[in-house]
Amino acid sequence: RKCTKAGNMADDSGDIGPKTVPDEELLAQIKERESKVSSLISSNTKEALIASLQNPPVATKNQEIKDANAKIVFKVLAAIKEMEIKGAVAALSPDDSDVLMKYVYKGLETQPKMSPSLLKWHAAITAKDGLGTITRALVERQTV
Amino acid sequence: DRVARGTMSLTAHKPYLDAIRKTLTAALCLENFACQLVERHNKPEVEARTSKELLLNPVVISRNESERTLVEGSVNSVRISIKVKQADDLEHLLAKKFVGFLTQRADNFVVLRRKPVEGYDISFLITNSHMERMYKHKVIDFVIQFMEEIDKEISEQKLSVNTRGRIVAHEYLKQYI
Repeated sequence: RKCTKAGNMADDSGDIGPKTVPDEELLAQIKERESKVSSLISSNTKEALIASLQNPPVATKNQEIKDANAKIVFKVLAAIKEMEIKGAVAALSPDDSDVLMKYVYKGLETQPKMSPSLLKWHAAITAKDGLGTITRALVERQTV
Repeated sequence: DRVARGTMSLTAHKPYLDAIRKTLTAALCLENFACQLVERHNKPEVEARTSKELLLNPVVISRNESERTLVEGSVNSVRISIKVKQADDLEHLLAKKFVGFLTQRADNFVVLRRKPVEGYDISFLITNSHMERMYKHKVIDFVIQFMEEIDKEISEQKLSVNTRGRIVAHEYLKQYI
């Protein structure tokens, strides 16, 4: 007896789970994000931050793609002064805060030079959205 | 001078220790979980590493290039590894001796691991059974206090080694004046 594909019933795609985006498309998305963020960074850092946190490449297994996206986020974080951190965090949605927390941990691991400011970001995010952001950074399989 | 230096390093520490405290509060949500592969066995999964789905993402919190803390979580246990600041050879030696002294008496510490994780100076292993016996916030307080104390101890010892060396040299060379 042939095994029916899962989700065959009402579904046309015959595919279960989130659509996998090919690496080339992700790279294109990152380039687009980078140009958008670079233009916003000088004018409106809050918008730049939100833009950099959209659609992170969590599903791919390609470390280079993830590093490329991380670079954009770190650039924005470095551009925001310590006094502005609280305001920037206040403008984020809860989903954005989760993504940002994951990048904060990634930064603490790979960019120790940025540690003093990253620790301030950490404090600001937990002050706004609580320990849940940390828990989700620890638990979610698909990392940033 | 020593007191001033001690208090200054504490205030610089605070964001670092706060971040560690919050990460530990999130990671130390442990429950009993028997081994899935061997009947009647109950191992700390962060050490056994038998099943990927039981492990959390390891997270590093660094204060600067030389000091960092690694927090590896799992369903029933958490491993915390600390890399202590070691500015020069003397501090390196003092840290090694001090940590060796503590790890030899790891049984009395309960949560201390006898061997540090690769790349770090000292490690803690906290399991669900510890959490059942002790207050979570107190265990975290202990770890944070430990980190503060270790820095303090090493700088005090360095000071006393240098002072003693100076006194001894002074006394010895007096005869040649």
